[in-house]
Amino acid sequence: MNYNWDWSVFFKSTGIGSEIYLDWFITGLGWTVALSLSSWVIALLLGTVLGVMRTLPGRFAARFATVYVELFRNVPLLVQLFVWYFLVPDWLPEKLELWFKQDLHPATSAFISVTVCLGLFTAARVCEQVRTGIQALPRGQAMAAYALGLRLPQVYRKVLLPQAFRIIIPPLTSEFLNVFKNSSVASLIGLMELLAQTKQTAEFTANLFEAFTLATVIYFVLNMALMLIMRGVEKRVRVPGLIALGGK
Amino acid sequence: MIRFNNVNKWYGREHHVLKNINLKVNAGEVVVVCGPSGSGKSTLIRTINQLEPIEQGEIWVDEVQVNNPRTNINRLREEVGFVFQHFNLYPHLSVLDNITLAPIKVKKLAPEAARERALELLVRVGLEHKRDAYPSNLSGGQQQRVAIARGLAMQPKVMLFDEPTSALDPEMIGEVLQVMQDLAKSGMTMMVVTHEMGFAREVADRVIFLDHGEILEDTQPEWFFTRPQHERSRQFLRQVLAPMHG
Amino acid sequence: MKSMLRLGLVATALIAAGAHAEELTGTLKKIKDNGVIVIGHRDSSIPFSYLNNQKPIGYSMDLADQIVANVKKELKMPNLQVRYTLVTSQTRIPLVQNGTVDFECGSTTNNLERQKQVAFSVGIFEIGTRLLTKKTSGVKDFGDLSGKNVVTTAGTTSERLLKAMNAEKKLNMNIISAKDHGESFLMLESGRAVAFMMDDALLAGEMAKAKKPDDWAIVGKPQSYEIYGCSLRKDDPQFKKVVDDALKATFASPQMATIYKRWFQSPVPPKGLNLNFPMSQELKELLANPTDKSAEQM
Repeated sequence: MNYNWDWSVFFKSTGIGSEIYLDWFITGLGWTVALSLSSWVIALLLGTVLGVMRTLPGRFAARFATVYVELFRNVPLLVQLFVWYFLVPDWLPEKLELWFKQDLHPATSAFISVTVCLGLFTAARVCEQVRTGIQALPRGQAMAAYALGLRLPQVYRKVLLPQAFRIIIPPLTSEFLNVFKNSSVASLIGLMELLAQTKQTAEFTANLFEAFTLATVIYFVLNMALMLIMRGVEKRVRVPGLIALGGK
Repeated sequence: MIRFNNVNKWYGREHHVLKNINLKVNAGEVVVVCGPSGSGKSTLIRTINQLEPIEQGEIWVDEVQVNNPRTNINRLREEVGFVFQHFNLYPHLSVLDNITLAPIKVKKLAPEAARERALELLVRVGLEHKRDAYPSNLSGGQQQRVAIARGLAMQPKVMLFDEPTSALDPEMIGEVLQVMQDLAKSGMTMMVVTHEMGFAREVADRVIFLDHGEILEDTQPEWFFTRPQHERSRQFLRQVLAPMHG
Repeated sequence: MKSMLRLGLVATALIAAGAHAEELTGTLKKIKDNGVIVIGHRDSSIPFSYLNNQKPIGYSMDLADQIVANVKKELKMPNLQVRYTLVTSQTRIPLVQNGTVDFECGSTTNNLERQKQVAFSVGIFEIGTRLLTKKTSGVKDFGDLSGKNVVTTAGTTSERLLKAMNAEKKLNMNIISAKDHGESFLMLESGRAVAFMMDDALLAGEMAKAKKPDDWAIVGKPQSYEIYGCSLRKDDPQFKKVVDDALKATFASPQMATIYKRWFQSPVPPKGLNLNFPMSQELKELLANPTDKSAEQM
């Protein structure tokens, strides 16, 4: 195949101000990281609350969380994004709608839509992990806590969740990595994250393979770094024998 | 201290686990509950702090009706220590934190005060050197002693034991029974579900024999061991005391 | 010994090539050997190249038919098979390069960057980059966009021009890069942007699709002109000549007016919309003087 490789393309001027193409990748990486981290915070908080709800004795809370999970896990992410970006703003009061659509910087309104969308989507997945983690614990753990007079929130905060989270760090890590990959949906509503910048570079330079190779490398390094961080976290909070006990 | 008035409990519609239970445990008394497995003895002891609800009758602990919807069940549980067959220590917390968690969170004790009390209790169960260890580093016997200390840290009026030695290797049973015996001597009101007939004979003030959810014997240990009233208790005793079965 | 042998073979081949000047090479040879020609097409570049009932149709596809006819004539293969392969804006260049398709006709702009990767036929269309806006928006030209939200499609020349203009003239526009023309128009229609900058022919297509086409107008002085061409493999003069000859002959014939009218001034499938887009002066000049140069080189 007679392709002309040219790795110097990243240092060439984009023709916009004094930017070079590499700047686009850096900006894109910035958006990707910002999007992913803020979505993850939402997912982790909401997912934990939902996961706890699914294990509560009360019927209503458990059912609500189940419906939530089924809804958000089974509707394709793209459809959800479309709803958050194009439909939800139209349901706002008119002043708020105009503010969101026109006064807010388009990148900001897109950022908010993607973050909410990805956060709520991932929360459904985190919820299932948290539920599994809690249910993997021996029943005696909660019983012992109740027997000592701990209140329900204390039982979860002090006894069940700290153990459940230690058990589910590996699956949570992969959800965390998924958030980074899924954040690329932002490119579809015009937020110039890493994938969008890559496509744009490919389109403008016609150096498609260089652009996508660089993007691959960046995603790979990002994933490795996150994995190492999560492994560090896992090691730091590890308690000897906990997993073995959890499986009992 | 503890009173059962005509207590009945079912699992589902069919299974009648507790039948017309009437019993009384006085302050400072040590009562051993025994019976064949499936007789309802664990269920019985769990109804006292509402780990198991009951369908009929009344249970009173120190003039508080346990099964009254208006009773603050958490308050009550603070007064009733419970020791489980499988210890149920919190594996992610050190021995000391296992003991201080409830006093700090529930009794709102200052952390230093809770710590001090925990250390005293650890001395009492002979494990002060293990205060920073994690449960998984302890033997079964040690874990159960910590679990007893954890229960005592709430300064309960009553201590309930649900087969505290059944999950232990034989060589560790002694150390746990010793701690329980010391506790009994200190005047604690105790109700103990156990197969340890030696403990029943030496420490208990009364022995209750339960079978198929019914109390068949409620008497002094001496009477229970020498002159059991029912054929089923005689059969039970033959089985537990048979030398070959240990 | 082995290398001597190889040298000998190469020498023989060279002599043979020299001896028969009309020996087929490159794409033509490939087409002849396989008995099939593969055309790359787009799925939604209305009215240039898009799918209707699974069949690729459009202005560029009509021209591609002319190219195929000429290839058949050149190879004396009236029964040459024609196969169509769908390409996207991301895959079109690599698929031409690696031989999956023999040439691609759609709405591909001929520019210097792409010339490094592929060759272009003589230009088949010329557009100007302009603005689509609501008639009531008050936007008459690019100068009116200062401080406003403007949408354009990601990866297009319009995007680059708009961003460069914004940086140079400090217009403080908020530029939204939508993923395709349909979404760009959605941003415009839903009020997120006051104007949509794009190739005028494509804007006409989007306008025709609107619920009320009369509410919209294409305005502003073109910021650039772009020439669309069919893309083919580089360094293949034999095939390029067949392609260019076919196009030039078509441009010169009355047939060209028919083709243009069919796609830009008549109702087109699937919905029977009429773009009402008369031929621009620029396109008339391009067809009269065919060139494979890009607009920037003119």
